[in-house]
Amino acid sequence: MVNKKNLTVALAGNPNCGKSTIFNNLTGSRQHVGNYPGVTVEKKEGNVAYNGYDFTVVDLPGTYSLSAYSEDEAVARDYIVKEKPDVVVHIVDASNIERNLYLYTQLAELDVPIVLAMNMSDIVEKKGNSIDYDELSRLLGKPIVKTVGNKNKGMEDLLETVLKLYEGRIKIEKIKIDYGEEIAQELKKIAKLLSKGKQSLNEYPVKWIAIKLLENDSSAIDVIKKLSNEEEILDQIEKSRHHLKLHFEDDPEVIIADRRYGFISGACTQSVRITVEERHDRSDQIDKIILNRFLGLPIFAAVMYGIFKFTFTFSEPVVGWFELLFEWMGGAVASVVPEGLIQSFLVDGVIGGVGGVLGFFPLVLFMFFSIAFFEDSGYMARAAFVMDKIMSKFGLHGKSFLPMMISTNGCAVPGIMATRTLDSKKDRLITMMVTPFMICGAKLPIFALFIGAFFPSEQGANMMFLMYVLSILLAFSSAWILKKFVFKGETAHFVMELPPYRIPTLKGLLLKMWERGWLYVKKAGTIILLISIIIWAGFTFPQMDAQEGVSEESVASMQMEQSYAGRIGKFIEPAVKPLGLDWRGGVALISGVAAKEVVVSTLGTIYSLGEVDAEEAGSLKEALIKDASWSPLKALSFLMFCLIYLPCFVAMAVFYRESGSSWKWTSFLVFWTTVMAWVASFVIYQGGTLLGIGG
Amino acid sequence: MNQLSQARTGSNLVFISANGGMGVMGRLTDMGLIPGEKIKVLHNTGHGQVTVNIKGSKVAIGHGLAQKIVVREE
Amino acid sequence: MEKIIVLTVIFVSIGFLIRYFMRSFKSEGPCFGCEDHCRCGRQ
Repeated sequence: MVNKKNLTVALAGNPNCGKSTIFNNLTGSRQHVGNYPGVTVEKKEGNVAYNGYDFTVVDLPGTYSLSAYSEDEAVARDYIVKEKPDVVVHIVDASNIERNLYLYTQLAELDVPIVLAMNMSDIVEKKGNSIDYDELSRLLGKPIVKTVGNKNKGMEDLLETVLKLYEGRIKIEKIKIDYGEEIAQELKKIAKLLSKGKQSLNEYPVKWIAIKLLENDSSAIDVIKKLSNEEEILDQIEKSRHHLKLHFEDDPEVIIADRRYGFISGACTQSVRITVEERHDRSDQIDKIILNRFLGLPIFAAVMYGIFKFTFTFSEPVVGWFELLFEWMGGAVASVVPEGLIQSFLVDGVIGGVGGVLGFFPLVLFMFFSIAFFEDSGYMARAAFVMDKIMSKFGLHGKSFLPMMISTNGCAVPGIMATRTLDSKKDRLITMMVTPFMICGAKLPIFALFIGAFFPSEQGANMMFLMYVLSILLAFSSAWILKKFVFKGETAHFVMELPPYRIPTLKGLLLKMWERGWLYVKKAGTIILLISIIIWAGFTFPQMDAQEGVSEESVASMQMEQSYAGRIGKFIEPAVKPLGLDWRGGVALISGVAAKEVVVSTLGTIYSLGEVDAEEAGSLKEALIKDASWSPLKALSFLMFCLIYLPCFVAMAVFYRESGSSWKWTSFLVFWTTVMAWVASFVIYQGGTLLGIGG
Repeated sequence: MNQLSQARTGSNLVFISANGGMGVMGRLTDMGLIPGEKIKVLHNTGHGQVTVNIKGSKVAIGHGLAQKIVVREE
Repeated sequence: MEKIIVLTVIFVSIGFLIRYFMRSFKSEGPCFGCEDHCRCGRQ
């Protein structure tokens, strides 16, 4: 690693053009990829050594242009403009070349060294078109590399070309887009004012800023805010825009875009040959059914139901085996390790806690598999479009659907991050507020546990589906309230590119399933384990002395009630009593804020500690069934609380950061979710008791 | 001159203008919708939601926006 | 003796947990806290 030279390469391009796939190919990392726009919302770095150089490759969120309308696009723009990577690789979906090259016209004006990667070049030929890459390269003034990301083709070529460009072994030519005399005149006037005195434009090229100002780009206006002749410049922009508007009878930004497209169109007519006229696209036919106004929603509901049915039906027996395995492990450890603190630590703390969570590993695997199918097929973007109509009635945006889906069975953390794709700040905050309501992969075990214990097994999938429907309704209605009272204003319009359908490969699905499943295990073995240990300690200390004349079982329960954690539970019991819960439920809920799986692990520890004969202890599910203080209604009330209350600590941390480090909104989230959860559980329990359901 | 929301499935249209806010207009431009651009309506759900082919890619447009997009028959 | 071992484990666990939560709040370091961190950008 001595004397290795460093080189930064940024990957830019339209959404869904295969940047992350190429990034993964180049760096050997495993970034999440999916067939819908907005999978990558944060820049990601990876490394690759090539020919004596150490390449730092940066994967950027997809963007259609350098005028960023949403947060994720701003990440991409700011990186290219401010961090100045040594080489920008512009990844172009070659099967959709004209639209993709629009970004090129803006990148080129930034005067950054560019290599064009014509990705999905195999599809071009399949579509019956042919591209003269040499000619195109000559016209655009930049080197072109043919790549096929999903087949890992052209990667070496790409690195080689980047290196050649960096070392100056190939030259790039500046291109000049002809904006016409009128616009050029105005640009000159603005540029002249910009370069008055030696002012800092944060190293932006003067010409680039001038164009952006003429386009009325808000971030360009921010740049000139610090200049001494700001007034004069703004005045000139006003004048120029007015003049151009009169001249062209249209907004200057439209004319500028028109000229850019004109430039690309010119280059393409000379280099792209369409040999076969557009055929009838099969995906159009599928869309006619899936997006149908009557069928759209039922199809979505059926797909979701199918996922639950599949997951529950197939995972149920395997979950049973896992339960048996952990039961056996508990018994085995108890028979080897002598009775005492260490035995209790291992059996009640570690196996009782973590085992309860790991028992649901098969369920989580099956769920991840189905969700991966959903993500890779291209249906996600369609579902967002189908939902847009309803969601707009509730004050949400169709795009809000994607963060909510990412959170469902995934995690609220990337869900909250994914709200970056929303254009309007208000829409984004509302979506961030309701995304944690979704049943994430960590909440899934809680639901599976209680549904398994208190409802007949043939109803399992139906109950689970009902819970998901409930979580969506809950999110919608809170969004409606938030929109009505807190974030008033219009919802942004919906416009989204629909990717072509793809049949997911089994290998791809299994890989995704395994990666995410492994994270579940890893989390159980690290964070959940650590928390379980502390929870166990909370219930074990201070230790009570053995008393005579009292049965072992009541000693065990008195010990717990008088422990530190038990006292906390007793203290909060009055608050959860109206919800039908006792101190144990209270402690489980509190500890669940650390991570939602902990709700399960804490109950596991509590019930394991309560069991006197460690060798005979059954599974947590059995313990819950045996415990007379629970009932189906109480279980429902408990689940309702879990559904709504506080997001886990990490999700709150991300919420805080993504809300612009706002303590105001973060405390609002805490307050809002707690109150909502309490009220909903209260209504369910008290209402149910009054009606005499499930006593 | 018509609203895109009323366009028939399968019709070939020419984009004229849109009366959305700054942000939406810019987004449409970035996705290839400039005055004079030929677009094909792939599907109109009847709710005013449409999918159109713009420069070879399929773009979904919500009902609110589709009402604000002015088009004419080719 | 038993008590010493157990208490040591407990305090070490508390230490690790504090470190973990501090990190996730500062959003740095490897993130175990999220179900699919391949997406969250912290890795």
